[in-house]
Amino acid sequence: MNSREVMTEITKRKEIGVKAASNFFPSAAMEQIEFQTLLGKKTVVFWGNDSTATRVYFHSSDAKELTQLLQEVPSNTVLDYVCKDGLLPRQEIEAAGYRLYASYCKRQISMDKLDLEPKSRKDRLLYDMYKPDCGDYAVEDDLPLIQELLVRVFEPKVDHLYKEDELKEMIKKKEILLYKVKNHIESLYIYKTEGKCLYSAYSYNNATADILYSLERRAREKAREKGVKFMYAWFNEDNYKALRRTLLQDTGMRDYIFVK
Amino acid sequence: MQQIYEILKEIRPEFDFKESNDFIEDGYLDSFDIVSVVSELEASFGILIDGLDIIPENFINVKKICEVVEKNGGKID
Repeated sequence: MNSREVMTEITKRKEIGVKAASNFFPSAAMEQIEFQTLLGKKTVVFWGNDSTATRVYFHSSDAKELTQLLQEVPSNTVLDYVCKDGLLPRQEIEAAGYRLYASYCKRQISMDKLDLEPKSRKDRLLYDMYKPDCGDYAVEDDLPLIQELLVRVFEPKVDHLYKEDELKEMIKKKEILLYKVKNHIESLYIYKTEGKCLYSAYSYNNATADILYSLERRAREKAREKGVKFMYAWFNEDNYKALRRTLLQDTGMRDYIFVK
Repeated sequence: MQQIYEILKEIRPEFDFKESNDFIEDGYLDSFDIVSVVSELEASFGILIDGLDIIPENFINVKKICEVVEKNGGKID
């Protein structure tokens, strides 16, 4: 089934006033995917391959039926569930053989609260080390290095790594900043401008702290010029160091990633 | 229409939806937000929104959202 056919099946199972659990958000990228489908009375479970994993989706207003159908989904599949904290149907998913692999929290901040002149001497150190011309925007020749680094450092299963054509588009839009030493990427910052929001997608640093700070701040300065008002990022909840360091505030949104 | 603005405000309180003509382009709503908006519209207007109507183009502004609600049997004051 394609995504339109799946949506038709979901519509047939919707009932007025009945809340359903769902992890399917229609998007243009989904239109290219051919889904395997399991249909219940009040549940649709379906899965298909994206560039990095086989992902499972569902729409259900019957917890028991959801577990039964999820049990029939093959192994080596990934199930993402985005929701407000506390609204996860964890029991139903785990009873079907999935285990929680990682969870991410969405954090956000108003741009005018970032890059203010710090009061403490400690914070001032990094602030003063900012180099507005630090690093370079990636060019297409950097693509193999960027892809190699992303696959090595991040996890394709959970991190929704960008496909080659997406990275090319981001290079064109100047949304990838690199700091290279002898053709090695020492620091990388990938971000996306989404209207009034700056999405901080990937940060990697093998250089000193001021390098990544400069790349990130450089991107923020540019975003401000474009009228961007908010910045957000998804943080792995086990990444205590990043969570402690960030000024971004919890939005209450979570992305739970299960694997079977 | 006010009801729709209230729903939007509840989902993304940080934005002034009256300022934007394209919620998607301006980054006010993402695909998860759209699903949340659909769920709230269904509850508030007592309707079921056809899955095929749940596409970003139908949620770019309040006028478009009103059209989706009316198409699926809802009444806008």
